[in-house]
This record gives sequence, C-alpha cells and structure tokens, in this order.
Amino acid sequence: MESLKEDYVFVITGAKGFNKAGCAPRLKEMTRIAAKFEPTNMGCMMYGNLSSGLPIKSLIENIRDADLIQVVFDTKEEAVSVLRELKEADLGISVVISCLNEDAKDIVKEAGVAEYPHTANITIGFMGKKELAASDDVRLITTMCGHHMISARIVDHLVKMVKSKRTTPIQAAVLVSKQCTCGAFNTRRAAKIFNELAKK
Amino acid sequence: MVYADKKLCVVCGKCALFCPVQAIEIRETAFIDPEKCVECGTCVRSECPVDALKQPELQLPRLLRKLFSDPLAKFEQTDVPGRGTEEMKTNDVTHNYDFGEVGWSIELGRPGVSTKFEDVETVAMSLAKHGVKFIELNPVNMLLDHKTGMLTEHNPWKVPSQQVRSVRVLSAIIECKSPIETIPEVVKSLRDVSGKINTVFSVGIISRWKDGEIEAVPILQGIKGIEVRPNGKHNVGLGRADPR
Repeated sequence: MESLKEDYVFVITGAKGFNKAGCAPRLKEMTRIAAKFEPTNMGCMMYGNLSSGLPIKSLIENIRDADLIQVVFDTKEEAVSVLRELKEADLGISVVISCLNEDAKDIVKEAGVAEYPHTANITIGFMGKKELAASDDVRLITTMCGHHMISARIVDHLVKMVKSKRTTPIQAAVLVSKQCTCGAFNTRRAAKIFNELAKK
Repeated sequence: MVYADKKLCVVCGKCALFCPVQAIEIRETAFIDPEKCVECGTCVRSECPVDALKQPELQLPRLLRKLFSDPLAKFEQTDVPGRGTEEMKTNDVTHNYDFGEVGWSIELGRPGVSTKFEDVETVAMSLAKHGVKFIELNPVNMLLDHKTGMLTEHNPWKVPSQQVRSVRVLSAIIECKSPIETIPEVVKSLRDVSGKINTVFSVGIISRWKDGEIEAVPILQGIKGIEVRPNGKHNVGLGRADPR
C-alpha cells in the first residue's frame, strides 16, 4: 500500500476508429511533454524503455499511430504537473493513470481537468488455483509488469543476491525492468521493494 | 518452437531464471518443455551470453501461443500491440462503457501462471449464461461464440476449436459488459467457476466515475468476502473523437 503512493503510471493512446489514424504527431508531442518532467521510466512495447537504455529521442522518433506510450512518475505532485500540461496542450488523446483510486480523484481535480476521472478499472483480486501463483512478496515485483514478463524465479534469485550483497537493490530492479518492454515498470519502487524483501 | 542450440548452450541457467512460466530446465543443456512454453520470447531476449535460444517462425496453432504471450506480437485486427485491448483506456472517446453498466476484464493466467484455452472457454461460458455482451475488438473474444462463450472455429485464424482448447498462453483477457445490477450474480458465477479450472484469473471491473465515486464500488462492497483493491487505472477524460 505504502509503495503504491510512489507509483503513477501514465498510458497515452489513440482510439481505433475515432482518433487513432494520424495521431502519431500528437502522441509524440504528449511524450515530449511527459519527458520534460524526468520520469522514472518511460517507453513503448515495440521500442523498449529508458531503463533498458532507450534514449528518449529514439522513443519519440519511432512513435506510430498504433502505439501505447507508458510513462512512470514517483510522486503525486509530478503526476499533477504532467497532467496539467497535457490538458493545456489539448490534443484530444486519451490518458490513463494507474495509481491509488483516491489519488486519481485528487490529481484530476488539481490539474484542472475535472472534479473526478471519467472511467475506472479496479480489481477485486484473483481467483482460482491460487496455490499455482507466486507468493504475495514476489508478486509485489512481478505484477508491476502488466504483461507478466517478469518471472518469479528471477525475483527470488535477486532477493537472495541482494541479501548476500552480491548485487544492489537498484541493480536488481534495473535487471528485471529490461523484461518489461513497455516501460510501465517503476524501477525506483522495485528497488525499494527488493531492499525490503532482502531484510526478511 | 523455442529451443536451445545444443552446440552453443553453455548451461549457465540464466534463461531458466528469466522464463515467466518455469518452462526451462537445465539438464545437459537448457531444455524447454514444449507444453509449458508459451512462446513469449522472454528467454530469447534475456541475457544468454552466447545467444543459444532460437525461436523459428511459428505455424498455427502454435503461433497462437506467441500472439497471446509475446507483447511484441501484434494483432492486426485490434491495432493494439501485444494481446491487450483498448479496454477503458479510450472510453472517454469510444463510450463503450456507460453509466449503469459494468465492464468485466477477466484475465486468465494472471498473475504469472499461464492458461489453456479450455479454461478460458469454461469461464466464458459461465459469463455468457448471464447474457453479457462480449466486446468486439478483443483478441480472445475473436475466438469465442458471443452467445454461448464456447470456442468457435469461425475465428480470424480459422483454427478448429479442438486445437485451440489445448493451446497454452501467458494470459488471455475475456472482456465483456453487463448491466450494473448484475454485479452480484456475475461475481457469484466467477467464484463458482474458479473451482473448476486449472489456473487463476484476475477480475478487473470497469465502471464510470459518478458524483465523485466509482459507480460499481458500493455494490461490490456489499458482497461478502469481496475486497476492492485501493488502486486501479483511471481514464482522466482528455480524449475526444476527431471530426469526421
């Protein structure tokens, strides 16, 4: 819960049949705006992310109509500032923020967009053969990648490496962030979680 | 399918660490279990020091594994990279989900377990009994009969249902919607069917914000044993359709 207060993932994308055709210049402009605020990570599935060494310039140059841009910030204040500038740019492209539900309301209001967001996607957890899933601790890291590209084994392994001081929490976080190609992975938050798990 | 070139593999075991579904065992060389492997490409992109992992061009039905597991694969029909959908990300433009409605984003195999399509069909059939409306621009829904939830051979790849059932993928998102008052009965159905499958699924609920709160939350909070997570995705409402 506490670490969720340090994770604000923006997704910027066009809508097929409504504004996606020809939207690449607007996606590029919105990515430029977001990049000014020095995100923790940003990227696009097809091209990679900052944590894996992709230069922002290359990311922006490559953006096409069909792309989803992901940008990660650590603080609510940064999220408000970015959203305010995206609103002022008025480019008509959808923006989604993954964060605490209460924060979403504050961010939208403080950025001058509206009194509250338009639509939410919330979760009531998961069901089924839960014994097949990784432990709660490991899932703190693995589920930061929405495409499930981060394995439980590598997380377990890196926790042991951090514990035995053979790697640092940030090195561990950067290594796993490379598997999350889209750039939604919050490297700084992951480093903090690795540090906490290594103390257990 | 993905394989390790025995002449190159130095048995370092790194690929086995990176595989999200634990399909790789280290024997005399890296061995990839063809049933467990979902063709996500993670091992190929991982830090193999000698580039021993190879993924040749795949043919159907094996190709379906890659399409539903590798985020770098693209569905031409949806224009969305990976197996994802626009879902509520563009709802401020598409208005797919309105007040008084609830969207269901049921992701089988999540978190990190993987799923066979036979389990996807079981869950889809339980949803179909409630008369839900399956969303069109969704890769999983393209494999389903929208009245019954059963797998159909009338899919974009024309793969027979029997073959699709045995395909294992990293995750598969069934996306549908129903009137908001159906939430309790659909949740009960999901709980019931969760005991009949050999995987897990996450339950995402799409709902409009209304008068400062998420419309579906009070109903969900009234269901015994249901806990709404404190975080979610929020479409902030900056999108609009281009003039035609």
